[in-house]
Amino acid sequence: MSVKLFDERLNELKSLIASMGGCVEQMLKEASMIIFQKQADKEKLYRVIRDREIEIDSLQVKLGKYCFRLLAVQSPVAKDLRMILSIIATNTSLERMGDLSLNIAKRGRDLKEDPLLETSLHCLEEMLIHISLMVVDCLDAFINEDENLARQVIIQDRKADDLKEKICFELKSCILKNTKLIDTCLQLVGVAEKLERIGDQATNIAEEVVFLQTGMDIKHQQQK
Amino acid sequence: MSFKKGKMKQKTLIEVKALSAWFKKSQALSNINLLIEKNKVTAIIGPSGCGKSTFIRCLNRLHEEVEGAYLKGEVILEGKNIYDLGSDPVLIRRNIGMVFQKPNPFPGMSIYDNVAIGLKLSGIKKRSLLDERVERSLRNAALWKEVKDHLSRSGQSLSGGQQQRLCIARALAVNPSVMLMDEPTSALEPISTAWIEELIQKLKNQVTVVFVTHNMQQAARVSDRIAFFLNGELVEFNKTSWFFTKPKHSKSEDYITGRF
Amino acid sequence: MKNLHCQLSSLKSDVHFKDQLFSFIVKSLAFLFISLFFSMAVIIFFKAWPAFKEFGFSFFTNSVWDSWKQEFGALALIYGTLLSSLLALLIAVPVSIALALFLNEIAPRWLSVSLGFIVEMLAAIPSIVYGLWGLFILAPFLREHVQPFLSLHFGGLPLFSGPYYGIGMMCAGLILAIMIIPTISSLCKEVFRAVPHANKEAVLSLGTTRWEMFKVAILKGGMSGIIGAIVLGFGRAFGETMAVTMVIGNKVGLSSSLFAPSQTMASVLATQYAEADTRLHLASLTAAGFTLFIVSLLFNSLSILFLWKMKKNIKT
Repeated sequence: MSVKLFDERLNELKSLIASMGGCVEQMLKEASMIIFQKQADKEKLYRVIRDREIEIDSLQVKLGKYCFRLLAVQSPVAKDLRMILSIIATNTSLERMGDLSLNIAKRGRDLKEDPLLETSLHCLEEMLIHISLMVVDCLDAFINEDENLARQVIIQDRKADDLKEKICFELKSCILKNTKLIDTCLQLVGVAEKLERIGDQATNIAEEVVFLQTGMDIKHQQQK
Repeated sequence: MSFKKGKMKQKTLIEVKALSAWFKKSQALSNINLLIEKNKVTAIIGPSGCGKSTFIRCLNRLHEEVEGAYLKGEVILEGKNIYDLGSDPVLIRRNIGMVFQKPNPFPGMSIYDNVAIGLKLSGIKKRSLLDERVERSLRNAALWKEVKDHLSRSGQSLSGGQQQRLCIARALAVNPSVMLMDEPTSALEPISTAWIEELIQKLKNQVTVVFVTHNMQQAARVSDRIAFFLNGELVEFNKTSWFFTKPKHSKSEDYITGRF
Repeated sequence: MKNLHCQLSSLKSDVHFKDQLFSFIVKSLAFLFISLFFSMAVIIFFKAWPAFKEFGFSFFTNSVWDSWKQEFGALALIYGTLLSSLLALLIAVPVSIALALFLNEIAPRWLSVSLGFIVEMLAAIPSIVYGLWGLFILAPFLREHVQPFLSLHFGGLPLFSGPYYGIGMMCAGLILAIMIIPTISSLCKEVFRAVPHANKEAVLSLGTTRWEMFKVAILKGGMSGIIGAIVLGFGRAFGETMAVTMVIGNKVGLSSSLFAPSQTMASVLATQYAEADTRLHLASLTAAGFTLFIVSLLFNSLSILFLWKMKKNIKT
């Protein structure tokens, strides 16, 4: 395979990643509609999201197969190798994001309303917007190989964690006020948890971008 | 390849300082500085005509055997500059074996004589000692089992891959501390190539190997250190694992990913 | 369509006819030459037949060559031929190999080219010129300076015993040596040049001196080629006529001394053929010529065999 052809294949892989990413972004948007828009047709939106999840799964399989073949045939080195490795990692992350988004949508569909939950929901919306932004940014960083943007995404993850803590705190006080809300509150805690995980996956993708550009693995360094 | 981080301080065997080489008026190497570590395999890679072969031929003073060739700079082997005025190229070459691109057993000589010739020329005459050294060299070159029953056959009757291993045995016989190989597998098919590659890996416990190759995958498989030459200059000298994952220099990256 | 087909086939047959004509001419020329060679051998043999019939095998063992007594034996001639050629080889081989080594390995390019040219030129000088040089310069020089010295110090040896005249076996050997040096050395040069550069470097890289490198890579590797060159040189010396005739003294006889005049098969032919008056004398001379023919043939084919073997050897 010529270098030109190899580059074309890499670009194809990147556009597959971009379309997977687009799906995830859409799913998050639709999930937020399910949770926050009272007049929305929740059942229909849920079905849309489920179809997207299926599409992401098939894209993941396809991407995995392509990467596998390229590795076998090309035995790439240096940046080409890093590129394929980060595509494989990103592929996994995006698929996880899709699963998590579907889970959020499911919880949102069965959500019961209550005026007591107003503040918590407000916080949750803020978190969802924040996470969506992280997802958009990490995908942009990946497609444009933008290391700076990626590093920003990694920093943003801390805020996502803080928001989750805040939501949990709010929900705890709701439960204390009205124990009948305990089921709904637990669902909402679940939503926050999944959102936080999506943030983590976005961070993973951002870390892959840094690896792609520098060859350095910066995972698990903040904890130290 | 080892993933362990070596804490041991590596010993330098050859230090190349400001080496430049010429053929008549054209400059083949300019200002090469390089440290070759003991018991490591160093691969020299680069496009054709970049001075790879010239470089390793400077390490055993073969460069000067070509008419009109000369050089400047120092090559310090085990603390002594081999280009010092008083040093004798004959003695220096005894300490540095060399294997060439095309397998070249000496014509008209048996397998035994091919291996023993270096020993005989260096003054060893005792038959038992010769026998022992020949066997050891052939074993080290992973050829003993195949040829032990017909040592008196002509060296040229062997297959290409065996001939190249014979040449390695011939170079090993005089107990060199460095082994230079100039594209040792470029004339061989894949199986013989794999044999030689495995051999290089084994040899590094006894000798320091410096080899030139056109085959990047081979350099990646076999070497510990990579020196990338371009237009007579050393562009990058790096650990192999680094060189093939994150080269320091964009020219190296372009070369190894084929975007040259 | 059919027309075109006809045209094509006629064109084709025309081409075929030319091909056939060409191959016929080439074949018949080649055949003519080969048959010339064989007819030569046959005719010489038949012309020599009376001598072989008369003397039988003793033609080769009898050393008397006397036209007065009509008794002819070629032993002395064969002896003279062999001795003069061997003497020539003894001198020429080391000199030629050394010369070839010098030209190929040691001399700088300009010297190697110009000197090589001169050496090749030596081969082009007509043998009569060598003969004249031998007669007027070399023989007197030997008589005045070399032979008195040898006679004085080594006179006890049979090789250097007896009176000396300048001309004789020694002079012939020297002249022959000078004449075959260009042949042997230029062939050796080719042989040495055919040794791959990497082989020389491989020997050098074992830590050898230049001389050891010559010995191992060049002399040993090119041995069959060198032998081929030597045999070819021997063949040349064997058949050389004019120069030898002029300096060998032309006296049939078996003598161990290098000072003594002698006679070779070629020189006896050159000197006696014109004055041979009897049938037997003529036939005996032809018989000597036939012997020369066969032996030179043998040496030439031997040398070709060696050179061919060497080429096959080095090609790998």
